[in-house]
Amino acid sequence: MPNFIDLNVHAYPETDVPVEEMLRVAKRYGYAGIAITNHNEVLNNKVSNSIFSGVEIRTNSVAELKRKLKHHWGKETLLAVHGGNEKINRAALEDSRVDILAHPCGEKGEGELNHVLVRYAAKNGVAIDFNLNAIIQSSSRRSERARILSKMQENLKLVRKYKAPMILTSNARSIYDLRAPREMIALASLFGMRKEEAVLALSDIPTGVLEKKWKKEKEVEII
Amino acid sequence: MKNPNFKYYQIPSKSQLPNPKQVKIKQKVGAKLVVLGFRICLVVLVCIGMYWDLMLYLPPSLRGRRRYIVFEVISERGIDKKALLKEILDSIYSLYGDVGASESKLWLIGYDKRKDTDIGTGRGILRCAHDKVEEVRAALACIHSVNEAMVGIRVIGISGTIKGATRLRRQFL
Repeated sequence: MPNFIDLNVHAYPETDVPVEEMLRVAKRYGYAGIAITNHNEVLNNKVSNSIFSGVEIRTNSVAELKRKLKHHWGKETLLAVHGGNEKINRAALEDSRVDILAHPCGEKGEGELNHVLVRYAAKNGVAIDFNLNAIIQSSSRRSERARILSKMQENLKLVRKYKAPMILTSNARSIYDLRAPREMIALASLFGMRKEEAVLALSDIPTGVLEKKWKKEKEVEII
Repeated sequence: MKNPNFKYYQIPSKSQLPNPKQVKIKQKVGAKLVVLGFRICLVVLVCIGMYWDLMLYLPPSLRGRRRYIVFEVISERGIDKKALLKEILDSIYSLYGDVGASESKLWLIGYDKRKDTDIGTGRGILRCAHDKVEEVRAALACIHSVNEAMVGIRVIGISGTIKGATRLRRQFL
């Protein structure tokens, strides 16, 4: 069985749920590890080896994003950027220090990706995240879910075309938002992702992101 | 004037009364006849019932193939079966529409909540068509609240028979 990793989970201090509780439920669901990415906050105490500390940078201006990237770079295992805004999406994908662009079409499906941005993502090794929590949370508002799913279909088409790394994350804020890997794969099939792709997006690609595989490949090419 | 039809009530003499012993015998025979009739009726009814059963149930070769999904619910507080079934059906209707829901042949066979833990957790068995398991899984994953209590549903396993499903449910306690 592949090692499933969820790279975008929010826990204490941003939410009420302690990290240990999150990890316990995630392990029960069959994850090998989770990455805690709180908004603009760094997790100080490292509880166990299956928890990867990261930070999700949320700003509205490009200058502040650059400043925060400079501040956090090299200190954290994972640098994510809170996407949604088109300017921020572009700035994040153009910067090779960023590991993940979290929910590029926003938490409610307001942002967009285009072919230029996805090409940058493939070049810089920035993983594009498909936020499945947006599908789950919008299930009572059907038009919104339809919009989110169609945005994800378009993004998936672009990502396949330019072979950018893609990951599936739960963006969980409580233990009830977490979903087991098989359920994540079933949810990914709603916007047309094949099962093999989804398994890779949950296991091998997150591991590669943590090991900075794509960044290293680029460095070798440059040398 | 005296009414010509008026008569005093006369106590009947002993010879005019029926013999109590004979009455008892008559009653006994009647009761036996009633019991016999009842039994015959019962046998006839059972025969008709068996015939009806054979008529009503589809033969196994014509029945749709089913899968039994064993799932686990983690929730903020305990939720009841009715609310859960409503939420599951709502979810599958909103995801796949009426046509998809009709094809999935979804039904909740059993659900029980555990009482020994403080968080409400429960296990249940769902029945669905054998080729719609992934669709049902996606619909289950889309449920985020039941009666305004947050829930997360995970599929433990899938079985082809109810027997296997109940065994699975017991294993993962």
